[in-house]
Amino acid sequence: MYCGDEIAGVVGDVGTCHCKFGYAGEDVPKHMFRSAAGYLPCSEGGVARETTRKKRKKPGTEPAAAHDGQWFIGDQSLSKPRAHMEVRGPLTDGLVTDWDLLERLWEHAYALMRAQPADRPALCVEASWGTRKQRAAHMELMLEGFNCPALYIAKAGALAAFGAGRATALVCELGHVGAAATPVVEGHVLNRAVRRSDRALHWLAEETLRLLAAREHADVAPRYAARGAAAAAAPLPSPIHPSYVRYWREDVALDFVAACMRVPSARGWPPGDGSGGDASSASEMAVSASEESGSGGEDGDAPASSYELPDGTIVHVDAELRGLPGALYLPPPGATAAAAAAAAAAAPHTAPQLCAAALGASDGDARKELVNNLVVTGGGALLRGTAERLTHDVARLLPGAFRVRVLAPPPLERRFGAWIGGSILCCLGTFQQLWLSRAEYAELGPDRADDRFGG
Amino acid sequence: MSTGIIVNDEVVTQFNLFKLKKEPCNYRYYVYKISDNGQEIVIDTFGERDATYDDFCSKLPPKECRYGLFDLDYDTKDGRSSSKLVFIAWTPDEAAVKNKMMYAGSKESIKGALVGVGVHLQACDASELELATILSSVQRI
Repeated sequence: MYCGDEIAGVVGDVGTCHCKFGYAGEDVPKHMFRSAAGYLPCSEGGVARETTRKKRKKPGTEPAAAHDGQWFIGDQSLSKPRAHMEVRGPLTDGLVTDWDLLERLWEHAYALMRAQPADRPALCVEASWGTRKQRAAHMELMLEGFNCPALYIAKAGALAAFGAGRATALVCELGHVGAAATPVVEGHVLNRAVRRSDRALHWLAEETLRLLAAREHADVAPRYAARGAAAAAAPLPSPIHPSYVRYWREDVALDFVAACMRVPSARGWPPGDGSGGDASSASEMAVSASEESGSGGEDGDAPASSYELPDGTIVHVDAELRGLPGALYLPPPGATAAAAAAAAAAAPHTAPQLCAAALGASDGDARKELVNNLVVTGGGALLRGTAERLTHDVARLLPGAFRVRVLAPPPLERRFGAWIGGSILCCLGTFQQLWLSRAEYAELGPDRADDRFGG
Repeated sequence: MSTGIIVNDEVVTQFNLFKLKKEPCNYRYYVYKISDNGQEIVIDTFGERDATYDDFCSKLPPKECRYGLFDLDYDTKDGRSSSKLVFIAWTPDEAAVKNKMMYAGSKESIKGALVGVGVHLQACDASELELATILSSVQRI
C-alpha cells in the first residue's frame, strides 16, 4: 500500500487536442499544451534526443524505426514550420495509439513542472471507453518506464461527474474529435451504455473551412503562411508536410468557431414532436443558472460579427455561419424536408441523440436520476448556448415524465472537468490507500492490478 | 471508484436501533457528515421524535454537503398512513467542488451501511428539499 500523502501527485489528462498536466490539489492544470507534436525523421535532419528515463525492458522488441527521429512538442515549437515535419497525435478515437509520443508528452510535462517522475504518484485520466489493454500499457509506461512510485487510472466521465458533485450522472463529453454520452452510476461508468459519435469540434472546424472556402473562393490560409511583410522576406521551408497545413488551418477554424459562433437557442420554438412538450418548458426553466447569467469567464456580449482571417480577408459572419453549431443538435420542429433528411443522416450523431441512446441502454432504475443530472464537460462545451439547447433537445427526445436537468459548470471548469476531478481525488486523505504501488503491480501483474481501478 | 472514506461504527450501531425504533435511538432524523479530518462519516446531529421536517431542513447548512436520514410519516395514495426511511444526499450547488466531490464519492459507503432504507434522494437546493417534492417522490414508490 502506498501511503505518501505528503507529496503532491501529478495529474495528467491527455486529450486529442490538448494535454492538461499539473500537481494534484491545484484548481486548474498549470500546464496545458497541444497533444499534437511535430515529428522530424532522422533521415530529414531530425536529431533523436536521448531520453533519460529507464528504458522499458522487453526482450525481443526493438523500438519501431519510425520513431527514430526528433519530436517538437509544445505550442511554440510546433508553430515554427519545418520541412518534412509531420504532425502526429497520440490518440485515435480517444484511445492511445502512439505510445512513444505519449511518453514524450509526459516527459515534456515533467520537465515543465520540474518534477522527477520517480518521486511522485501519477494519476492518469483515460477515456471513458478505455480498455484493459490500454490500462495495462499505461501501467507499464508509468510504473516501469517512468518508475513512478504509484499510479491510479481514472475514467474521464467518472471524474467529471465527481467534479460536479454527483456520483450518478449522465456525462455529455464534448471533445475535439468526438462526442460521448457516458452514464456514470455510483462512480462507475456503465461501459455498455456509452454512446459516441464523431460530430464534435473537429467536424465543426472542417465544415467551417468548407463554408469559408466556398465563400471566399479560396482555401483558408494558415497563420504561419500569412505573416504579412515578413513572409515575403523569409520564404517558407519546403516541402511542408500536408498534415502540418491541415493542422494549422484547423487552428484558424477553431479560433473562428470560438469567436463567432454560438449554439442557436431553442426559445420560442413550438414544443416539437408532441411528447416532449411539457417536459421541455419545465426543463428549460430548470437550466442551471450559470449558463444564463453569463458566469465569470463567459463574456455576456454578442459573438463577433466579423472576423479577420490571417491573410487579411475580413469575413462577415452571417446567421448561417454563426448558427453552424446547430448541426450538432436536433433540427428545429417543422423544418424543411431537406433539413429533416440531413438530420436523419446525422442521427444518431447529434449530442442529444447520444444522450437519449445512452439512457436507453442504461438500467431502467437509474434512468431518472441520470437524466436529472446531465453534466456537460469538455472543450466543445464552451460554445455559448450549449446547456440550454441540450436541455431542450434531450427533453424533446424523451417521454414527458423525465425531468431533464443539465449541470453546466462555469466555462473554465467545463474544459478541465476531468482534470479537476482527478486533482481533488488525489488530495482526499482516504484516497491514498487506493493507489496502485509499484510493489503491488509487480506482485499482482497487470490483469489483477486492473481490478483496482474499478473496471 | 470511491474515495476510500469509511463509515464510523457509531453510525451503524445507532442506525440499527433507529430502524427498530428502539431506545435510546427513538429519534426522528439523523444528519451525517464527513469528519473534519476527512477520514470517516460520523453523526453530525439528530432530532427527537417530535421534531418536524422543517427542523431537519434547518440543520442542513446552505453551503456544505451533508447526508440526511429522515423517518417520514405520510399518507399513501389509497389513504393509508405509512412511514418510510428516506435518505437524502444534500449537495448544494453553492458548496465547494472538493466538498461536493467528497460527498459524491462516499455516498456508496454510507448507503451500504444504512441497510433497509427504502428511498434514496438527492437535493441540490432548498426547493428540492421541500416536503411536497419529497412526498411526491416517496409516494411514487
